Amino acid sequence: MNGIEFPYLGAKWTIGAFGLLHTSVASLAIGVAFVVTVAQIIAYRSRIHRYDQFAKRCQFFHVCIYNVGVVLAIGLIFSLSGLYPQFWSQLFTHFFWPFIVEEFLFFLLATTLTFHYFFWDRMWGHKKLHITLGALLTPMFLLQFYIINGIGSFMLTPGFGESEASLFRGILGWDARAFYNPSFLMLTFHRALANVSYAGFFLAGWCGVQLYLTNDRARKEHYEDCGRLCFYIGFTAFLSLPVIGYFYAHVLMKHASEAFWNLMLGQGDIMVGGVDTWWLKQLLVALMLGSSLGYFRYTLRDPAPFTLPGIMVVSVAVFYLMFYVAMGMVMTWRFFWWMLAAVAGGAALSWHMLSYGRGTARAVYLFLGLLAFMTVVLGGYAREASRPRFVQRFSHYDSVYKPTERQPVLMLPITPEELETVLAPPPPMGPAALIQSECARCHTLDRVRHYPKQDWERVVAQMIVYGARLTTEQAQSVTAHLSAGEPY
Amino acid sequence: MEEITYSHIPIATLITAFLLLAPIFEWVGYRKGDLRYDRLAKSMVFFVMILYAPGAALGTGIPMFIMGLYPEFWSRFANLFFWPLIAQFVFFLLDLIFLFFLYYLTWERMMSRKPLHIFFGCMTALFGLLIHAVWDGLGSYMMTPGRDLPMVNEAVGWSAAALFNPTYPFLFLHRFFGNISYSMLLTGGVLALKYLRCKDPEEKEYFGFATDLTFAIGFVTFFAMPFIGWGYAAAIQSNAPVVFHAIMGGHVSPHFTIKMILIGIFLVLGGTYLFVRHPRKVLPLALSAGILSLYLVLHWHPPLDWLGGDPMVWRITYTLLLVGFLIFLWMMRNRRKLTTQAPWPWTLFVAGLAAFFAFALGGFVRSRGRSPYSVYKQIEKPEVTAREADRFLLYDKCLICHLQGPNVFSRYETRDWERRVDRERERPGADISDEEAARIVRILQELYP
Amino acid sequence: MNEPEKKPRSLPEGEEPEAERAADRTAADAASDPDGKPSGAEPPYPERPPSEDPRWVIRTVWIWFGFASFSVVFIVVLLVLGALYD
Repeated sequence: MNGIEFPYLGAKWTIGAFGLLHTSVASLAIGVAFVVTVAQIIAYRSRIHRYDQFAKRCQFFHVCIYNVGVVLAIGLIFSLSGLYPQFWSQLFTHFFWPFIVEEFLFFLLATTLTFHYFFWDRMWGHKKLHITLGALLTPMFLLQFYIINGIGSFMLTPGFGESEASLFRGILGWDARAFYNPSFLMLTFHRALANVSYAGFFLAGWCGVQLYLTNDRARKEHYEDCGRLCFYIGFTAFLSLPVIGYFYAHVLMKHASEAFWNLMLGQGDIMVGGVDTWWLKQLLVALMLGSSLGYFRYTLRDPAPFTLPGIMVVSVAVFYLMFYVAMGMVMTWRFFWWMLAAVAGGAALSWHMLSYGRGTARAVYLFLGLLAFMTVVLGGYAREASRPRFVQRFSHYDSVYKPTERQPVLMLPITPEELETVLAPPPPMGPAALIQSECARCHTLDRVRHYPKQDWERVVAQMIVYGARLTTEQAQSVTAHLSAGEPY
Repeated sequence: MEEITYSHIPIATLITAFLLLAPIFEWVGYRKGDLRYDRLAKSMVFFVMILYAPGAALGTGIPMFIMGLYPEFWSRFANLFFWPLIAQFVFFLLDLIFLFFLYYLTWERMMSRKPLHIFFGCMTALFGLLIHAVWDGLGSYMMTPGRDLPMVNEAVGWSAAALFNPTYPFLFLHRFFGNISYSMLLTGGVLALKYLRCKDPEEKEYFGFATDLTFAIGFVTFFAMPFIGWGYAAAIQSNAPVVFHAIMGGHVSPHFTIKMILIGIFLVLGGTYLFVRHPRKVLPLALSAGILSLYLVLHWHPPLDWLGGDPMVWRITYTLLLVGFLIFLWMMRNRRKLTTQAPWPWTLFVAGLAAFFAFALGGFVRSRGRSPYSVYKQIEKPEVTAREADRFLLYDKCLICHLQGPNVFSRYETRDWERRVDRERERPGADISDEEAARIVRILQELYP
Repeated sequence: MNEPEKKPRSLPEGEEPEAERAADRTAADAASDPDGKPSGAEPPYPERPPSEDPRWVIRTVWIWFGFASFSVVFIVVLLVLGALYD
């Protein structure tokens, strides 16, 4: 079976491009909503209008990118439908209800965002209500992305072993074991904070761009101040990410061992053009850490709002030194030395940029904004690329539904050679169970029940051509069962 | 699942129509030096900006429901139309970029460079129209498939026969003019209410101007619709006869009749208003020509079932109605002062609402007429009931010859359906198996006991 | 509505009807561009009495806020119950 060929990119990279573009925009939207609320609250509490003005501009930017994110999501799901139809049909029907709830949240978000921005100047007499409306965006975004994380993490760690149960009960559109799978929690924590961090650094980077473009003193002060706020938010959210990342990797080691080793050893699609994308991400993260620490250390000279006290800078530096030492012990010392070099290099670089800029942090903001964007893209790529590849596009996720063949490798701490000794072969399935499992793979059983004719032999043969996996004996038993009108 | 579709389509079609008209209004205002047109155009674009995100979010919901509830249909459909779907994604992206960054944001800054700004508006409108064109191809295919719906293992991606299928041009034109018509009539109605509530004389003057302009455009544009609709019906009759019969006399005809009544409502209310408001003869003469053109459509239409007697009865009825309506309208021309009083803005609003619901029923009629097929005679909906399937079979097998429509069956006095169907099966060209005959008898007994 | 015999009225260059948008303007707007760019001294934080906000805006926001909050709580309850009992 050959699928539709996408020129130049091919199917895999087409989905990859859509996915990465969508994620980089959608993640930003989630984080921007949070930054806007924080900025508005600070403005309200301190009665400093500039933060509210900045929040309004950010929210307009958000309105624009929200629509771009929606369009990219549409492109992604249409590409998946055309290029990976079986995978997409199976995944979508398996998680139908979460997708529908997510869609409803999409609509709630779009309308709330619209009201929040377009009513900005008409609610000055009800500022608290306006801020609360904007604040509602953050839990809604978190919920929406909580749902998509359940589905995304399922693709890497399919479940605790009972996810095949829904297959035998029929397509229910919801499978708790599949949704609340082993890596769901870590992915949610990691991405929730990463989105805020990304948005904080990105908006700081945007302030940096404005600082380069403007000569007006008042505007410079405005963007310097707002950039500092965004940088502060970005760094605060960033702090826990490496630690969460460690625990995320730990879950993968237990529940998606092939993916884990692909990441650690730089195997398969993790390598792109000779570059280990996972290592590159770690280097960029260390660079960000070092640059941020350098920035906060430098700004101790001239304290302004949203800078860290010296003790905090030292504490974070010491903590991460210990963290990287621990990583060196668990992984390789090469990793430790490379990360230490990146941290030190980042600190030196940001110190130099601040000195050269005579106190303006525009270069640092721009640098960290770019790095944050790159780490988000690399992180998403590494997660997807670490998943073992199959040869046949149409049978990509067959094995999720054949747990005895595949899942133990992903879910138990055993080597592939031990597979046969650990697992018993599956019992042979009767025709009723076969109908429930094989026919329901592509369509509901109502279609079978309502089929008005009696030419089951022809129909079963046709279904096998369309992709139903039945041996000759199984096909015969199913045909006999259907022709006899037996229940299933 | 249609609820999601019905919530998205009004927003999307309104956006398409507004984006089409805004640069035109802007250009007219630029040429005339009248800033009221510019203000109207900017308000329309601003409204589009507000609607865009919720409309897009609801639009995402449609494929989500389809993917989950009709996975086989969607997989095969996405296989057939992969490249058009990618194309509409590209158009969407470009539309967004032009609308947000080049057209709306730059409005004030480009007041001195209007031609360039209007060009950006035209590009926004063009991409919106291209999105609409792609979806019309996909939607019309479901009723009159130009080729078979392929299986997933037969990679297709693009088919000109499928996209440019027999009813595609009609659906595209019908919706093109229909979007402009209903959106302007509804806008006119809303602006009329704003006029009513406004106290400031300058603002009142603006809203009065805007009401007159938008309502007149919406009303005049309507007159293309019956002719396009006629062509559409002819194409459906040739290529999807069961759908044709379902709408014309079948199970969907009540909805279609309601649609016609709603059209009648806004024709009467809107026509009266425009005749009263416009003392110069150009618009009333144009509208008279439009109303008389309906005469042609009614002339070609067979006599309605509920009008008993000779076909002459039908001809006399619609002639009297149209001529009487025209006389009434021309008599109302001297009552201008009436339109400044309170009921008139509400009248316009009711006319606008009637236009909106008439438009909304169109999509409903189209999808119900196709029932129980997702794609006509290609793939049935999984939830098809025996009644729906049998009804389709009845229309498909029997209305080839009983051309008057399904109501012909209600005229038989003896309802001995078994004997009748057996006799019909013997006619040359009737290809009805035993099992099909049993199903036809069953549905006839159910529908016409 | 407007008398059709009158010639279409051009507004003076650069002038726009302001009545509808009176509620939108605050002291801060006078000190900054409409899109929030700062253009001079630090503008004061805009304060105005609640009665000056258009009532239809506040009503719409309250209704929407109630609906959205209820929906969020409902979805959270669904997810929690799904985790516990499914």
